[in-house]
Amino acid sequence: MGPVVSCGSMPANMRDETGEALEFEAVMRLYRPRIFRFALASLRDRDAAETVTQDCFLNAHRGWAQFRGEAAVQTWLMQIAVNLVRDVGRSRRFQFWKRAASGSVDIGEAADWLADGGLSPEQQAAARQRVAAVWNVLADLSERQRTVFLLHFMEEMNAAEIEASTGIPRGAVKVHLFRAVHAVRERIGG
Amino acid sequence: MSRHLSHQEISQWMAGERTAEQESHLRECPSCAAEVETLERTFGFFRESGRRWSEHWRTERSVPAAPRRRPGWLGLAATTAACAAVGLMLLPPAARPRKTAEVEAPFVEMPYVAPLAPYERTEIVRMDVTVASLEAAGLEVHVPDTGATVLADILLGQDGRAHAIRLVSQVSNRRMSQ
Repeated sequence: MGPVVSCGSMPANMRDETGEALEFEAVMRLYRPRIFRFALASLRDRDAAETVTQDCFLNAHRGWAQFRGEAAVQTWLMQIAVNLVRDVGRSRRFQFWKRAASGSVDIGEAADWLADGGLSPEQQAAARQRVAAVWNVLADLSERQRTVFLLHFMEEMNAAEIEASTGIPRGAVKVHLFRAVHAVRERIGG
Repeated sequence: MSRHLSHQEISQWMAGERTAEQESHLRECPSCAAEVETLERTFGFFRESGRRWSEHWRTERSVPAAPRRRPGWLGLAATTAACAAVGLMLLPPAARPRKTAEVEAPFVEMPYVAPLAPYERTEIVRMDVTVASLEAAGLEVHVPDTGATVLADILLGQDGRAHAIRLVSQVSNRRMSQ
């Protein structure tokens, strides 16, 4: 059986009661990496990111029967994930462990995962330095700026999709994105 | 558009706010085009590195997390709190039933106790506690008889430490020794 979900919205005529479990499984397989990636980049904690991902799909599963494709699946799932990440990030307990724990993920190492892409060693080093700077700036951004930046540059969502996922009005999405880009450029000197 | 794009305009362009005039300028100006291309490549690398990095963490086999280290003062506070919690739990329960009015009170954090770890399992244990024990744990209880008891819900962490307390009953004047 091929993938039930290709991408984006799920038309109602594609769904029937018997296929719902398979549909949801396919949705989970397709979107799980994205939700985990967003949670990990936002929280910089693997355990918390896994928990957010599980909770996201648990919540989505509960609401799956009512979901009739008015919004894109990715937007809908990301909306759940954004709320969960926000709740976890604001939790005093989580903030305490972010300060005290040594087990959280080092965001600086993300830049080491660049593929060589045919670059010379010097170009690779320069690219890695710039990407590391982007990751470091990300940690200093406000919660909203970071969320908008990640959704746009990591998940390639446009302003309308970000508005639907975060509840931030489109005009404010553009302002947050501009400020985040500006902060990145200040750091990398571009 | 004869002048180069400003720093702000390039940031706007990267943020997706684009005008036809800027687009036209970028087609004709190698300097501005190079600047935008460098940024686009950087963000492309950022996206690529993020995807590979998160995939590594997502697919790596789960291993038990290493014990989290805590600063020394927290260890001291945790030890003190653990002693207080053990003391509370060793107290014998008072005879029931007791004619006390149930009151709905919020949980109060135990002083000098490190917060619960994220997702740490907790349980609430209801027990009789002497006022003296509460005072020893750093809580202020304004009653003249420190031998009096209260029925309280104690929030215990996974390691058995008491993290918070909620009084369930009013102070009873019957002493624990009775």
